[in-house]
Amino acid sequence: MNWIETFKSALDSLIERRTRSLLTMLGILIGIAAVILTVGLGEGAQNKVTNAISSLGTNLLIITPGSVSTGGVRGGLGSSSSLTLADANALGSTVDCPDISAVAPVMQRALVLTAGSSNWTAPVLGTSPSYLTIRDRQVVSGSSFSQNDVATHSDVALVGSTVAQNLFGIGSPVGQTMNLAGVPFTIAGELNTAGASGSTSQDNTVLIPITTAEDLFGATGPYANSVSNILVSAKSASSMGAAYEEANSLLLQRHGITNPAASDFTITPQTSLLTTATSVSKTLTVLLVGIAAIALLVGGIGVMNIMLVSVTERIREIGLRKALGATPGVILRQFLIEATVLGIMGGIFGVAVGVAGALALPHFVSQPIAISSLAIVGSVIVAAGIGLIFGVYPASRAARLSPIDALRSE
Amino acid sequence: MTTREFASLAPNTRTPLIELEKVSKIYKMGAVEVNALQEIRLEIYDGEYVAIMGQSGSGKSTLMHILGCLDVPTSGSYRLSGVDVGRMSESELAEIRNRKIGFVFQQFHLLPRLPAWKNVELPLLYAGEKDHKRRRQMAEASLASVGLTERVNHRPTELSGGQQQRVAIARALVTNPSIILADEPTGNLASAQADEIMTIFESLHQQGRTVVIITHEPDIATRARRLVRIRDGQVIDDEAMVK
Repeated sequence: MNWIETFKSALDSLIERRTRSLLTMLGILIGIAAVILTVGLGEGAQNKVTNAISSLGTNLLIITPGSVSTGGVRGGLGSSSSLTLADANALGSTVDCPDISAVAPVMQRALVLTAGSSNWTAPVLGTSPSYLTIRDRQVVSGSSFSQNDVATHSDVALVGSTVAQNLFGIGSPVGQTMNLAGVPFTIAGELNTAGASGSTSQDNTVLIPITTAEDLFGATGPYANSVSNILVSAKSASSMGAAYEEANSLLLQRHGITNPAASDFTITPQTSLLTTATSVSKTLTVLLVGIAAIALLVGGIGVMNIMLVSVTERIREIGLRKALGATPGVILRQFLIEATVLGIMGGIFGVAVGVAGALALPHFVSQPIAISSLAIVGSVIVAAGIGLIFGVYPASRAARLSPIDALRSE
Repeated sequence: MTTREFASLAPNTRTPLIELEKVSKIYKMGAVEVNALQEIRLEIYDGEYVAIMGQSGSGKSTLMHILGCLDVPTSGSYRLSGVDVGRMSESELAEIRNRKIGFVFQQFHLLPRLPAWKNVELPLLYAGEKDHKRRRQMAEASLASVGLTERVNHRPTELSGGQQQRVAIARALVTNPSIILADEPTGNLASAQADEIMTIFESLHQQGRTVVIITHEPDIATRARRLVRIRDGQVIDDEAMVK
């Protein structure tokens, strides 16, 4: 008896007992629907967090000036101005730091901006054009300032959408002029809308060439050439570690520090932020999936129970089939297929209910829910597996039945 | 070699289809051992029409199970067409049952949800006949041979007892087996229908098939050409019936 005939025969007997088959599937259905929903909720929450953080830039290391000890008293973070433009330039060397793809030094002050009769206060960032790449920002109209603008201390600026709106209303800011601390700047371009990260809006910002910022902020004395922080982008997510080491050892060497514990700067990988944020939602997902797995287990036991009842009920049929030449293997196969079909059908209906739930749920609760194709394919396979595994015991009982006892039973 | 010895050898030069030699079957019921069959010796040749008769508890059902390869002897040997089937595995026995033996049971044992032709088709499925058109043709031909051409698509519940047993006979014939083994084939039938079934066995015998009927009814048994009586697990009489 080939597979197709066995399958047809299995299907026939499931259809014949359709009410019972449907009830058995219900157990699997609930389990699978629960898996789809919980995985979807977990993934939705994770996506939300990941998107928020990765909008800050990818493969990012943030180097901030650290505490510096003055006469045995250690200042807090940022208490010194230990990072300089020269440090930033050194980090850009492909010889010393092969795993670093881009470096952007940042000098930051909050300044009052004026244009015509409007005024607005926003953080002004002096930086290099690579800031855009590192932070994953785009210029949506106009163009970015260039490396040449940095070299020539040009008075050009890029503005975020919040700044543009407050100074120029709905009109395009590109080509307009605004005053920063009394210096007129030409607006070269407008940045894309990036939303907020944490409590700071990324759209309320002004970018100018770092050399211009140096002139503008009038840094002198101990603050000369010092930067607020340096953003470094690693070549890839996997080279984050290498980039970290290269930046760390280069800066230690440049600052003449031999004891790494006493370093006057701090390097924070963006990933550590991401890891913390996602680990919480991952824990939750694991918990929910655990509960769903228990539901599936109960469904599987339901399949086994029904299959055992089915074997007992059909004992004469099994005996007859054996008398007519069915080998134990054929009988085993038929019952395994029946159990697997129950599992697969339960799985498919479960996916349907789960997906429908995932589509409906956002209308009732403000929680993003992702429909994961991996979870869908995975669930159907798991459901089939559950049918198969929990079908083994009843099927082997059927296969081992003696044809005489089976035929004789009334 | 004397002439007498030569003469006695003559009928045995043919290999018997069924050859039981000192076949015993012992069941263990808890601590008690039941000797269902005791050193049975039986030979059945191709084309014979044999009735095995005995009261209930005589061991005739056990004998039928062994003849039908549904069970194996505790000791002794059973050769079917010269092949020892006594030590075969469960799967090998299933193949022998499929190819060599056509069963007809007292309770018909038809699958109630399947139409007549699908019931008859079952042994062909287990025989591995892949062409489904051919399976249907063979099933229909077999049903026609027992006079049920008009009932091919009827379910067992829509048929009379006699018709159901004819479907069962068609099912037994469909693989063209060496032996038709019938266990109380008329036990559940009214006498008119029983007669109808016995007529079919008679015609199967006329066509040259080997038919073995197990029964406790003398009326049925005496219609065969050879009568083997069983009592207490032993053959007590084996006689040819003159027709």
